[in-house]
Amino acid sequence: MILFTSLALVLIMPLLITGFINKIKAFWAGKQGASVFQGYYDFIRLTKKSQVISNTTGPIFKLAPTIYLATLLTSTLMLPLISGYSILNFKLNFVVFCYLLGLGRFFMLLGALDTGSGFEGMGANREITFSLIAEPALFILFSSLTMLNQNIISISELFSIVGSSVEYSSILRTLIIIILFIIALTETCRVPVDDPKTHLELTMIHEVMILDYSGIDLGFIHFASGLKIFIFNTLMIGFILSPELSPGLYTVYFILLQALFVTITSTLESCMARFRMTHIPQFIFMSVALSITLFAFIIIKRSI
Amino acid sequence: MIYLFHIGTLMIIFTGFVQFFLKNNKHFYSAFSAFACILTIIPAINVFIKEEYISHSININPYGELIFNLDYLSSFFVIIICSIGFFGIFYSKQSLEGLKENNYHTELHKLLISIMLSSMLWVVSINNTLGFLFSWEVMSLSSFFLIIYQHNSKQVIKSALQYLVIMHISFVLIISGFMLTYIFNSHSFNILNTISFHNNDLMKNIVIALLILGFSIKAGFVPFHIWMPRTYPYAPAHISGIMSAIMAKIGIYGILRTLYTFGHPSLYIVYLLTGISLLSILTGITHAILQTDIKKIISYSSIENIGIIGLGISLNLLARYYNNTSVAFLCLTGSVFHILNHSIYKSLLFFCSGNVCSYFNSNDIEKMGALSKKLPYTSFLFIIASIGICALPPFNGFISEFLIYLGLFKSFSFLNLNLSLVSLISIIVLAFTGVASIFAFTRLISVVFLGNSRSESKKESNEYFPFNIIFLAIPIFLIGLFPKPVFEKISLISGMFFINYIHNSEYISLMQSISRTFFFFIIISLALFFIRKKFTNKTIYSETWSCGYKFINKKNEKIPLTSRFQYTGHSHSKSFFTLIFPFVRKNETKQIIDELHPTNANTINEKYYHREYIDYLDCLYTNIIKYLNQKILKLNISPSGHIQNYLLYGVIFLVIVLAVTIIFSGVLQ
Repeated sequence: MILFTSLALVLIMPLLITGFINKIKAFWAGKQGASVFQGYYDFIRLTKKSQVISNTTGPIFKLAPTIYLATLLTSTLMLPLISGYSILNFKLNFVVFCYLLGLGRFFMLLGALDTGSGFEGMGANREITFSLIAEPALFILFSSLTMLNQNIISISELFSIVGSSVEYSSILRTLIIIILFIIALTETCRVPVDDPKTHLELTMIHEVMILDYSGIDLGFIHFASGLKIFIFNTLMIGFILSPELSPGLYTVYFILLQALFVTITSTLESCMARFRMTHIPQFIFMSVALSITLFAFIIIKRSI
Repeated sequence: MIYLFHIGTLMIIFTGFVQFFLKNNKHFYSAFSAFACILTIIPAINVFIKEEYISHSININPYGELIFNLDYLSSFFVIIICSIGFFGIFYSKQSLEGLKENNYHTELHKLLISIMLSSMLWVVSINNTLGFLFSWEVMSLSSFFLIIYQHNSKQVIKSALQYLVIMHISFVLIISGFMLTYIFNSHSFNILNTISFHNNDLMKNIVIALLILGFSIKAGFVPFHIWMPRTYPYAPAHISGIMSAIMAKIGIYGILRTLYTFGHPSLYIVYLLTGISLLSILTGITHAILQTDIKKIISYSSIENIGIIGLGISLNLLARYYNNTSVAFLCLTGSVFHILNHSIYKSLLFFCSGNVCSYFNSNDIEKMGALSKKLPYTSFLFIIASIGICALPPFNGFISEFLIYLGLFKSFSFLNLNLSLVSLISIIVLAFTGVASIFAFTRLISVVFLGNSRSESKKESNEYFPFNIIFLAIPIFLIGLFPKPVFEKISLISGMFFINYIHNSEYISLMQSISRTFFFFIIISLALFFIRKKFTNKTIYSETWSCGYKFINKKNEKIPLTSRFQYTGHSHSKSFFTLIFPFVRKNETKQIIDELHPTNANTINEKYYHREYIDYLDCLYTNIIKYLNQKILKLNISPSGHIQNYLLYGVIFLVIVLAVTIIFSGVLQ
C-alpha cells in the first residue's frame, strides 16, 4: 500500500508542482494564470508532436534526456517518501544518490554541448561551476549527521537522527533546512540562482541547455525538472515530519508541506530578481559555510 | 604452477628477440606475446581462486637465492600487467603502422616492449633486493627507449631525457633505503619479507620515508609529478597507455610492499602522505580543466587518480594508528580496487586519444571537433572510459570511490578529533573532485568529439571496428554491475596487511545493494527508451536553433552556424580560472586590435591572442634549474668533449666511494 502511494506520488506530483508554481507566480503578477493541470496537458501534447533534431548532433543528444530522467527516477526510489519507507534502502545510499544526480548532469551537459551553439555552451559552463560549489555542502551535511549518529546511515535514518529527543534539535533542523534550501535553489535552477523563464543571454543557465529539444524529449525534461523540485522538497520535509505518523496522515502532511515549499520558492521568484552572475558563487558558498558551522557545532556538542 | 609464470615471462622476451628475424610477418609478435601473457596470468588467477601463495626460489651462488613470491598483492599486479599488456600489444600493432617513418626502429621498439613487460612482471614478483633493483632499472631504461621512438622531434628527446633523470633520482632514493636496511638490520639480500629494526624507530622511519619518497616519484605524486605531463604527450600513444596504466602503479606497489614489510611508519610520515595525496588530487583535476593538449589533460587526470589511491592508503595508516580496523580495511580495499579500475580506463583513454591524434596529426584540442561522426567507435569508447573515470554509476569507477567514502564516513563513528577532521577534509576534496572531473571530461569530450569541426583534417576516416580495445570497455561495465566477486578477492589483498583479519559480510551486502540499484537504473532507462521510441513517429533534421540565427551574406545565401560559435576549451577554462586564480599561473599575450573592422580575427590566429595555464610547481623546477645553470656558467667549467675525461670522472668517483666505504665500515659496525 505504501509502495503504491509512493509510486503514485512520484508519477503524479512533478507536473502538478510545475502547474502550482505557475499558478502562484500568476497570483503575484495579478493574473489568473494557466490551470494547475497544464503540465499534464503539455506533456500529452508533446508526445503527439514530431521532433526536430539538429544536424550537428550525434546519438548523445538523443540519449541525454532519457538518461537524465532515469537517474532522477532511480534517485527518487532511494528517498523515503512515506513514513520513512524507501524502496532502495541501504547504508550510505546518499553517496549513490549524489553520484546518480551527477550522471544525469554529465549527460545533460554533453547533450547541450553537442549542438555546437554558443548558448548551450554558456549554460553548461555556468551550471557545472555552480554545482562545483554546491556539491561539497551536501557531503559535509551528511558527514555531520553521520557524526551525530556515530555510525554510518542511510537516507531514511538521516531524518530520524535529529528527532525531537536530541537536544538542540530545533536549531539543528532549522540550520539543515536552510542549507538544503540554498542547495535546492541551485540544483533546481530557481531565482536567485537562475531564472527559468529567461530569454536573455545574460541570464541563461539551465533553461538554455534545453533550447534544442522538442517532442517527447522536451516532455521528459519538463517532468525531470518538476521531479527535481519534488526530490529536494522531500529532503527538506523529511527533517520536519516524524516517521512515526500513520501513512495516511503522513501523506496528507507531505503533500501540504510540498505545497508550502513550492509556495515559498515561487514567492521568492516573483518578489526578487536573480543575483548578479558574480554574486551567485558567493551565495552558494553560503551553504558550504553553514554546513561547516553545523559540523563544528556537532563536534563541540559531542566532545562536551 | 610457478613454472608457467617463468615460461610466460621468458617467452615474452624470446618473442621480442625472434621477431627481429621475422620482419615480414606482422602477426607473429602480437600473437605469441598475447599467448605468453595468458600463460603468465594463469598462476596469478590460481592464487586468488585457491587462496594460497606460490613461491619458488632459484639458487644463484655468489648472491644468494632469487625468490619468486606470488602472494595476493603480487598476483594482483601480475593480473593487471598481463591484461593491460595483452591489449597494449594488440593496440601497438595498429598504432605503429600509423607512425611509421624510415629511420624509426620498429623491431627494436617491439623488443623493448617485451623487455619492459617482463621486467615489470619480475619487479612485482621477485622477493630479493638485488633482483628487485635489477628489474626496476631494466624497466626504467626500457621505458626511456620506448618513449624516444619518434626521435626525429627534439621535444621528444628532451622530455625523454628529463624522464630518465627523474627516474634515476627515484632509483637513488630507493637504493639508499635498501642499503640502510642492509646496514642496520641484516647482512643478507633477502629483505623484502621479514624485517625488524630492533626497536630503532628513527632508522625505521628514515628508511620508510626514503623508500616512499622514491616510489612516489615513480607513481607521480605532487610535487614530483612534473614528469607525467612532460612525457606522456610526446611518447607514442600505446606506450603512454601502458605506462600510465601500469608503471605508475608499480610505484604504488612499491609503497604497499614497503608498508607490508616494514610495518607502521610514524604519524608525521602518515600526515605527509595524506597531504601529498590531497594536493595531488587538487592539482591534477585543476590542471586537467585548464590544459589544451589532449594527452596532458589525461595525464593530469592520472595524477588526480593516483592521489585518490594515495589518500586511501594514508587514511588506512592513520586509522590503524588509532586502532580502527574497519576504517583501515575499507580505505585500503578502496585504494586497491581503484588501482584496478584506473588501469582499465586510463589505458582505454590513452588508446582512444592515440586514434584521435593520429587522425588530426596534432594533440591540440582547439583544432578538433565533431569527431563522433568520423570516428564513431573511438568516441563511444572514450565516452565510456570518461564515465568510468568520473566515478559515475553504473560503471566501475564508482565502486572504488564508494569504498573510500565508506571508510571515511565510518571514521566519524570513532570519537577522534584528528581522524574526523582529516576525514572531513578528504570528503570535501573527494566531493569537489567528483564534480570537477565531470567538468574536465565533459569539456574534453565536447571540444574533441561533439559540436562542429574546428579545422579540416586531410585524412580519410576509414575506421574499422576496434577489436583490439573494445574488450577493455567490457570490464568497466561488468565490474560496475557485479562488484561483489571482485570485492571479495580484493579484500583478500587488504586482509594481508591485517594480522587478525575478520571477514565482514556487512560490506558484501552493501555491494549487492549497489548492484541492485544499478540494475534498477538500467531497467528504468530501458523502459524510458522504449517509451520514447514509441512516441517519436517522425523526426525532421534541420540546423541548430541558436535563437533563430540567420546570417545572410551579400549573395543572399544563408550561412549556417560556423564552428566559431561554439564554446572552445579556453572558454571553459576561463570561468574555472576565476574560481581558483591564486593557485595557477596564467600566461597571456594579447595584441591590441585598433582597426575599425578587424578581419584577421576570423582565424584561430595565435599572434593575436595566446593564453596558457602553468603549474606553479612546474615553474619552480624550471626556475631552479635555470638558476643553477646561471651559477654554473659563472664557474667557467666548460665540457671538454672528450669521452675519456668523462670516464675518468666516473672512475675517480667510484674509487672515492669504495675508499670511503672501506675506511668507515669499521666505524658503522
